[in-house]
Amino acid sequence: MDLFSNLAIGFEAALSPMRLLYCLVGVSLGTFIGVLPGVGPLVTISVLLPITYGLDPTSALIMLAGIYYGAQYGGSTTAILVNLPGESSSVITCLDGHAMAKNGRAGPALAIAAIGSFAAGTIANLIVAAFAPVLASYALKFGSPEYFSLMLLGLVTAAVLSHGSLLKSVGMIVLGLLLGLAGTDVTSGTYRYTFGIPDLSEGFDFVIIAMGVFGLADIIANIREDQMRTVFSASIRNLMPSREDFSSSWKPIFRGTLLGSALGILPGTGTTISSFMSYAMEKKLAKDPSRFGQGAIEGVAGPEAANNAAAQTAFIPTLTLGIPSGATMALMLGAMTMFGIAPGPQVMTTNPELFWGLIASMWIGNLMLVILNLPLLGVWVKMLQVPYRMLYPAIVLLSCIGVYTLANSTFSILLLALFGLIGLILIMLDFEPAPLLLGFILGPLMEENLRRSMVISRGDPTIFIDRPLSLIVLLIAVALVASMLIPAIRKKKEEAITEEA
Amino acid sequence: MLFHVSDDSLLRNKDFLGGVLLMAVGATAGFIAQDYTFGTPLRMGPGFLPVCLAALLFLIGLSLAARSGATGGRINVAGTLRPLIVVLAAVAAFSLMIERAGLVLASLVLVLICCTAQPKYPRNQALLLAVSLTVGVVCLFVLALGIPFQIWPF
Repeated sequence: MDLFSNLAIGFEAALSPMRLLYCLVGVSLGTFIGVLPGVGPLVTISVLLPITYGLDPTSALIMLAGIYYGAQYGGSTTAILVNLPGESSSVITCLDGHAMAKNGRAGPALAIAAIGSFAAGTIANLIVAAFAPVLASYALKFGSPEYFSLMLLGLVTAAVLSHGSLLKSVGMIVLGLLLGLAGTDVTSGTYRYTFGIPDLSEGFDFVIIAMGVFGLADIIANIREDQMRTVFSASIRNLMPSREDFSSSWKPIFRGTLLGSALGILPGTGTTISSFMSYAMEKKLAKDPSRFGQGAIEGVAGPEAANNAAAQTAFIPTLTLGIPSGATMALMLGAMTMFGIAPGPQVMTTNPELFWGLIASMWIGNLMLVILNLPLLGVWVKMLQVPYRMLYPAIVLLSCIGVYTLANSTFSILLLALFGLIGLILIMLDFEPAPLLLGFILGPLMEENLRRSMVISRGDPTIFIDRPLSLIVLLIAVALVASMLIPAIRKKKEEAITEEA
Repeated sequence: MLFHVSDDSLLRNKDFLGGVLLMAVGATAGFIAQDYTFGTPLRMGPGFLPVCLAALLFLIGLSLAARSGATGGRINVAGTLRPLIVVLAAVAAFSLMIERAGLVLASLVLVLICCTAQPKYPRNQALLLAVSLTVGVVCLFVLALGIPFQIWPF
């Protein structure tokens, strides 16, 4: 069976002692930083990116994936213990997870989150391994018009599903696309938006934008709020969930996994929406829905499984099509390009070791998370007690060093400050910065594919609706936008994605 | 505040300000892009997409601003200025110092400046934090990862 021989290549690549070490370091560092309140996977990955520079691409991606899962799990820990989600996908975990912690059941909540994530990770991993090659072989037949339409669909989904005003997220995407076009135009060699600065001839670096807009801007906003969070001091006793906990959790975990796996594959959806939908589903299916919000373990198990499954299957479009499904994946994609790997369906055939090694390491990383997190819980709880005033200078310092080491350029550090300022303005004006990063990554790719399509069709834009596959993709995009114009659906979406859920 | 702005003024409306901002960026980007060859749909020049996107951004900004009376909440800038200036100053200082004064001094200065973002930051803690973070990054980046840095001014 192909699947297993492929996985064998992967495990062979991932199980070398050094790579295991990188995976372990990634997972622990990711959790270590991700557990800090208000620090989500995006910030964690961008701050930790520089430490992977010296590695070979496979090891680097294994480590980055580890950081990603670690940060994701760290976010759930913070959500359960201090009711502060590190990112939007763990918002829902706050509801029942923190309620359980207040009832003195923080241990089982954390354990079931870890176990649920691991179970979901295992299943989702098999789905990735089985599904990615199929999609990739299909994707090899895609032409420029199909790619262009797919990217457009990705952007539309991201805009429709991000919270807040649709107009504002579309604005962010367009701004991101424009930023992405800065630098030397590949076809004509024209310098665009470089303002005569040689450092900008290659365009803006995505790491600088991510660190500025997500890292620095967040920090400045948080200092203002002067987080007077209640430090969680109660000791965690009885870590293991009881037999009843297990028997009421396994079904939500299974359902959440299926839901998350399906949603994760779609471009633009990602982890947040799957955890919200899983929560809504469990609440609907429960015999006694009133327990939800009061510490129902199903409300932790389902969404945690769903968001972890989605986090894994999100790699399918990223790895096979080169189209990121969200801001975090855009960051991973940017990292791949940085290591000289052009993302797309050819990665699987040109770098099988990297592709399957990454997939195998996802599973290994998840296993490490379970083994690592439960015994080390005491340490993470201690991390939560670190006051914010000792934290933010460290993150600012790490960001500056990271940006400097990108190209040994002091100009990059100034750009970081500039994007920090831009990010803060966006936060203050209620603009969601995540679609901006997605647009930024896709900008040059879309221009390239648009150009090629126009050359193929001799300047006739109907090529996008003449090709059946491209037409279907575009129709889905149109349907999505149209559905947002129907008040009832828009209201449901607002309910599902409210920040303060 | 240097001048008085009433509470329900458009100048404090998030969506109005956001819309105007997008319009300004769109107009600037479009203006700059006039220098690039626009081309034809068949042979798209380097200015084709920038001009289209800039126009789109301007229109989005316009409709955001136009509807802002009904949609936008009030902006609250209280207390943001100090952390903003301090953190950006710390980053700028680091960028000026890293190649001339070296990693150790640049890190110390960055952390110390950063600490002033919060009023009444305990001085001893700031010093302790600056020293330990500096030791930490030198160990991590120079000793463990072997990234070549200018460490001292000499």
